[in-house]
Amino acid sequence: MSAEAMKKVLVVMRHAPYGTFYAFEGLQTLLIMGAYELDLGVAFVDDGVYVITRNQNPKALQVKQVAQTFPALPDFEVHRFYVLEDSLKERGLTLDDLVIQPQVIDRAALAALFEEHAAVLPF
Amino acid sequence: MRFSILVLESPYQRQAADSAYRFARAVLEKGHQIRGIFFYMNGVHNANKYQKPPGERNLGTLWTQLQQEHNLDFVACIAASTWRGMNEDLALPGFRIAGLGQLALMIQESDRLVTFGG
Repeated sequence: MSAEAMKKVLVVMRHAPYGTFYAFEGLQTLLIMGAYELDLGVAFVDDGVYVITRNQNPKALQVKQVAQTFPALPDFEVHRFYVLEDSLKERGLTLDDLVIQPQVIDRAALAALFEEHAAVLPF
Repeated sequence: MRFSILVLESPYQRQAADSAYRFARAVLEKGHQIRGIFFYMNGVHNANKYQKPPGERNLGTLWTQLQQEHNLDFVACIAASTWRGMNEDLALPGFRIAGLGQLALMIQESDRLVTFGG
């Protein structure tokens, strides 16, 4: 299938990686959807920016570390990564704090992304 | 327009599953189509045939009626079901249990996917 014909899907990470299970499942969705000829992207907004922060250690919570998988996502056909600038700033974070280097976007660009994707999956 | 719906929440704790049901009804009443409804995360609890809220709307029954009236494709995620102890024996009629690939197919074959919950 040509790239033009592939449906665009945007996973939106909105929750912190631990405390709820949404980030984990958003990640599972990205890992699996890549096998189905979809044009996949992921946007980190609000507390979702914490999903890709460095030095996560959830060992005491007995759950898997979420961030470590993101650098491998291009191998699963996920090639577009976005982070909302305001969400980083509000939390005192910069790209240096993250395990990947997403494209930094403002709110207007995020709105445009929602517009151009056939499916937006908020987690 | 052809819709698919993603339900991420169980009944009776958040409104999301009820809203998804009402949205599905509204979509069909307006003459649109529904390609499928995918139940993921706690959404798989919608498929539990033993749910019994005393004196309140039974969302499981409502889902089954909707599925049968319109012969809709209802899929509960197999991974989320396994985690939560949901299985074919516990599932209401009209629900099938299958993988996330089914959600991918729904997206490919729909104009819009609308998510409830998350």
